[in-house]
Amino acid sequence: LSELAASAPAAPADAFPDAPVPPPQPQRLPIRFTGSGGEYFRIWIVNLLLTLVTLGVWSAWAKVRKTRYFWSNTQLAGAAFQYHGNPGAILRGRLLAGAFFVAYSVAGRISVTAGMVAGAVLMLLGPWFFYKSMRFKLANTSWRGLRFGFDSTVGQAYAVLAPAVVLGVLFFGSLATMQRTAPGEKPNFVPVLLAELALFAFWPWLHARVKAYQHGRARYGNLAFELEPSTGAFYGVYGKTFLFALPLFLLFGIALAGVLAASGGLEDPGAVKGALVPIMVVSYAMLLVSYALAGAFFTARLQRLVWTRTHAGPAHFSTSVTARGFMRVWLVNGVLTLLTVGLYWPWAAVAIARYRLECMTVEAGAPVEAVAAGSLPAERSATGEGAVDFFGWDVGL
Amino acid sequence: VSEPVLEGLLFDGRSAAATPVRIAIAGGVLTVTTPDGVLLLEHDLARLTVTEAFATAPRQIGLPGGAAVEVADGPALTTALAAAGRRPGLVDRLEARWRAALAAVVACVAVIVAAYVYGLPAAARWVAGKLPASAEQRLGDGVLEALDGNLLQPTTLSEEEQRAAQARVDDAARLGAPAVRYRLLFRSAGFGPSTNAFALPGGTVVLLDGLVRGTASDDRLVAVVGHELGHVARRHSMQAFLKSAGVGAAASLLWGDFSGQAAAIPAALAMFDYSREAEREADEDGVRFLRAAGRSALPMVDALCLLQSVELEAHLGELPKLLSTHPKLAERIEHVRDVGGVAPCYRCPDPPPACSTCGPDGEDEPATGGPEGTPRPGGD
Repeated sequence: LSELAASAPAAPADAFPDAPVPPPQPQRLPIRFTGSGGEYFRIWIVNLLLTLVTLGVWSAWAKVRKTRYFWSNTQLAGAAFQYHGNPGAILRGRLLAGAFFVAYSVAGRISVTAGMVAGAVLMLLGPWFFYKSMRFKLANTSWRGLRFGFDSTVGQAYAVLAPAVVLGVLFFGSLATMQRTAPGEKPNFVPVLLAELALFAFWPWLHARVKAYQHGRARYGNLAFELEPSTGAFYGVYGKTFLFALPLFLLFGIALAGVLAASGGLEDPGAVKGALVPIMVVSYAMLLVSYALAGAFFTARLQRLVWTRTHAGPAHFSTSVTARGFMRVWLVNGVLTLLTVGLYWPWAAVAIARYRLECMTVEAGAPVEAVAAGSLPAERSATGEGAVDFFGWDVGL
Repeated sequence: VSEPVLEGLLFDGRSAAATPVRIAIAGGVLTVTTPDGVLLLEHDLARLTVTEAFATAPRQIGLPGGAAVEVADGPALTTALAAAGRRPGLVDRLEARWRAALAAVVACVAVIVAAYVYGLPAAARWVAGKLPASAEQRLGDGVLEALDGNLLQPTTLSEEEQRAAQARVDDAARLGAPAVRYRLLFRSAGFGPSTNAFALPGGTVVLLDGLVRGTASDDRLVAVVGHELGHVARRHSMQAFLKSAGVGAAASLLWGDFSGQAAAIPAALAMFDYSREAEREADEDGVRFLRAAGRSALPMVDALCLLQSVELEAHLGELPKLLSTHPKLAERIEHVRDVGGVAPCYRCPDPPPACSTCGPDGEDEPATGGPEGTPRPGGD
């Protein structure tokens, strides 16, 4: 609260008492992140050990502790965020998701048909998992004593994600037609190519649709979030990323050709065999760097796009993340994590969180105090959350 | 000593409004007052929940009815609670100490190593024993399909050569391992020397052309098949596969990502990466197999010598790991020589200059009563 007061413009001391009241200036509220890599390392390693010795059971409690650490250390307007996820529910969700996963992997080993049926079932369950996970995440996060929420229905989730499911089915179906090619017969690449083209063409649209749903149905108390329509901007970000990545990958190709030429060219297979390790190392490293550079560019642009277009009633958001900033954080994180065989990871996680959070600003157009509690029911089931964790589908906000 | 007074914000849970308050803890009771000292709330401390104690983060005290007090100075609240007899939980205390964290690093490494060295093999053995033969067969067929598409090529042996090898193996197996069901397949390696053989889960033994050609006239082929049938009977490849699958699953769990599971090929290849112990067992099985088939242990030694010479020729490391399966051949040769009762001074006959004789008289005599000392095969 003191920060709220401090950031409000002070009234001129010599103002006449009957001077007209100026319209309320939007208050700029920065987000502060007070976590430290050292402290998170201790939390991470202690919980990793407990997870190991309990054969994974503790992982649910570990998730809650880690999430609470990040939220408790995130402060906006003098108040911290709190996470209320119930570890027991998360454990049940993870067990259920684990059973799904085992069934899915086993089905694939039994027969191709069983694997495809399992894949289709999983894809059809996807929107439900996504919806439940969003609800669990938001309903269990609070700030200033009020819960966030996700005000939607399963039906809406399916309606929003139906095109994604259709495209997914098309894509995997086209892959399956390739698989069924008899030996000796030339595989028909046309369906796969068409499916991939469709995927490329519709992906930015799908992404915009999902983000609009995620942000548009989010609530803080009775305050509704909204994401302005931004399909065109999504196509812009994807297009610019493509143009940004193109020279990188060209450079990558030229470097690879250079290494090949230096090692004696393709005419001498023996020499190439001798240079196999350097070629692999160089190409892997370059691929990683290109991917990281393009990824940093994309992430920064996407964050800016999404947050500048998101508002919650009179509150607007902005972020000053840049591609260069992400590159710096990722580079340091990647190098140190590799050099320390993974032990640097907690510092890396904190550095990423700090960069993302401290770049954010909330512009409150009206006093926060006016927000009242919402009427959304609590979300107790963590099945969706477990599935999202398990299959690595976390979409993030 | 006056009890510490802490600044906090009271949230009522019905709106985002915050009331600045002071809290005090005394006699097991939490007292919430306005900054001017007006009493707002009083609660029994034992019935309140408090969020974890972190080094700098604010802590929240949950009050009955959905209200909460957030104390910005979390560590001060931790101290005050401890003074009132409410210490942080065990895990909180561990997380707060560097010494505990370093001990946890050591313990994590110890647990992972122990699980890998003891837990994983035991679990793999148990699961391999429980799996129905059909599952093993299916896995073996899948691996063969993958290998045929990538690393193996059709055999270049003539029908006759194949039939002769099959007959020799069958004759020996009838006596040596009557209970083991197996199937011989002939393939040629797509590259490099192909003097090798390997067993797939389910009892398929793949013989590479180089091995069959190089051992066309002696019992080394029988010895090699005896060794591989040892792997089959003990389900070594199934166990190795399960081990590598377990490592993959554990790794992807640790890194919170299951996409590693998609890469099943490395797991399939790892099934030929037997442990030293598994190789030793299979070598002993090979010796037993030879004996039961009425032969001495010498062909087993010589078969290992053959593999050793091939490996030396091929400069270790150039072979893909898959087909250079047998590490520490010198050690294994020695072991087979010992258990098989071959004279301890017996040396490999081929490429390194032979020192094949025992004494100055050039007599080479197996130490045990192995059936009439099979003549040592000449260099081939």
